[in-house]
Amino acid sequence: MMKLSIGPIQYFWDRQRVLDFYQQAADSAAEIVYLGEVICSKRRLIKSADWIAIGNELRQSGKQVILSSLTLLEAASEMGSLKKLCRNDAFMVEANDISAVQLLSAADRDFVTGPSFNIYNGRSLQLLARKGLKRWVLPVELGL
Amino acid sequence: MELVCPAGNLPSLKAAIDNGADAVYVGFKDDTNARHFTGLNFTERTFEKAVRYAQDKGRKVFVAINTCPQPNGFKRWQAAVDQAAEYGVNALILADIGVLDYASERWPDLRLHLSVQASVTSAEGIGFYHQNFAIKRVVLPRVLSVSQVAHVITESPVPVEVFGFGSLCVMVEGRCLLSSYATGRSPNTYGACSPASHVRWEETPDGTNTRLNGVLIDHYGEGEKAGYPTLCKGRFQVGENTYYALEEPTSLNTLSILPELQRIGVSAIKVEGRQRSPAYVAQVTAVMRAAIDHCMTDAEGYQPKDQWMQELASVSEGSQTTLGAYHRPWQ
Ligand code: SF4
Repeated sequence: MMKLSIGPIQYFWDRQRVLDFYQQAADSAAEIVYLGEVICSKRRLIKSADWIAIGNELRQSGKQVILSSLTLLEAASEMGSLKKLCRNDAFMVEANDISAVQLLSAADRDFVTGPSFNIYNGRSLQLLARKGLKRWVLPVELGL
Repeated sequence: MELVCPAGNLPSLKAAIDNGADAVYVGFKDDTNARHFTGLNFTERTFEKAVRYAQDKGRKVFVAINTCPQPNGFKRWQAAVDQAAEYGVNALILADIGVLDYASERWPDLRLHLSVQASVTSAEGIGFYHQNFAIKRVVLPRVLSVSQVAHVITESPVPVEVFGFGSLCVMVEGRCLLSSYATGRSPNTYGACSPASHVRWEETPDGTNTRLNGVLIDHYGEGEKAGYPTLCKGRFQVGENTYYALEEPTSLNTLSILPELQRIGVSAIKVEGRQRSPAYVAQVTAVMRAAIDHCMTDAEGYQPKDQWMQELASVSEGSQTTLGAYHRPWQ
C-alpha cells in the first residue's frame, strides 16, 4: 500500500504555529512525518530537544517519525549538530546531504534520502542501498 | 597551486596552454557535461588533437563528465568515461554517484576528481567519495568562506581545488532547480542552465527585454548593456521593488586573496568559463598565471597589480567583480 508522508517544514514559522501544525499532523491520515530544520541553521525557535519531544508524541499517535538533516552544511557548528542528529537513538534520519549519508552508513544505520540529495539512476540507487538507504525521495527533475 | 583553465573548443584550449595553464578541462559534445551549448565542446577528432596538444607540452587534460544521467541515458555517460579513459586523459571530473561507481570499477587506475556539481562542502562528504571511489581531488562549491574552506582542507582526505575566477552560481551547484522550473532543463539533467534554446531577446520601444521560455528575466533601457538571461541573475519585482532579487551579475575574482588561498593549502585554482571565447581564456589565463607565479615566489610582497584587475574586470560578467562567499562577514 502506498503511504502518505508529510515532509519537513520549509518555512520559518513561529513556535506555536509549528506545534499546532504537528498537533494536526498527529490527527491526520499521514503515516510518516519528517521533522526538523532543513533550510537554515540560524532558525533556532525549535531546539533539537523539541523536535525529539514532538517526534515522541507523533510516534504515540502511531506515526513513523523521521528526523530530517540540514540541506547545505557550511559552518563547523552545523557539522556538530548533524553528528548529534545522526547519533540520536530514537528515530531514523533523512539525509539531505552526502555528509549525513557518510555519517549514517559509517555508523551502520539505515537512512532515507531527501529531495535535495541527487539520485538520478539505478546505479547510484544500488550503491546507496548497500550503504543502508531504505527509501528515497525522487529528484523533481527525474523524467517519467 | 595548479592553474586549471576552461576550454570549450580547440582554439580556447591552445589559448589556455599557450598562456600558462597547468591543466585544461574540457567536455564532449553532448549532455554529459555541464556546459552543453551549441557549437561548444569536443568531437572525437578534436578531442584527440586537444589531448595531444596539451600533453605534448607537458600539461594535463581533465574531462568534465559532471551531469546526472537518468536511467535511459546511462550508456552515454559510460561511453564518455570510456572514451576519455582510452585517450589517456589525466583525470575525469565526475559528479554522479552512479557514474563514479562505473568509472572507478572499469578504470581503477584513472584519476577521478569530484566535480563542483557534486555539491560537497564537508570533509565527511569528501570521505564518502574517497572511500567508495578513491577520488584524488575535490572541487568545492562557491558557497564557503575562506575560513570554511581552510577547515575543510585540514580535515579532507584529498587535496582541494577552488574557483578563482569566473561567473558565479548563487545557489549551491548541483542542487539548483531554477532552470528546471522555468525551462524543464537544468545543469544536472541537460548540462546547461537557462539553455539558449529557450532564450529570447525582444526589442521594445524603450529597450530590450530578455525572456527565458517566455518568462521576463530582465529589461534593459537605452544604452544599458544587456546580459544573458540566467535565471538567478534577472531583475525581479518583489513587493514594491524591482531589483536583482537573487544575485547581481558579477564575477568571482580572487586575485586579492591568492596568498590566503595558498596559505590555507588550496592545491588548485580553477577558472570558470568553457562557454567563453578563446580571447577570454587567453586573457584570464595569462593574468592568473602571472598572479600565481608572483604569489608563489613572494607571498609576503604580493599585491594584485592594477593592470591585472583591469584586465579581469574587462572580461567579467556585469563588468564587476566580487570575492563572493569567500569573504562573507556573517559566517
Ligand atoms: S540559476 Fe543561477 S544558481 Fe541556478 S544553476 Fe543557473 S547559474 Fe547556477
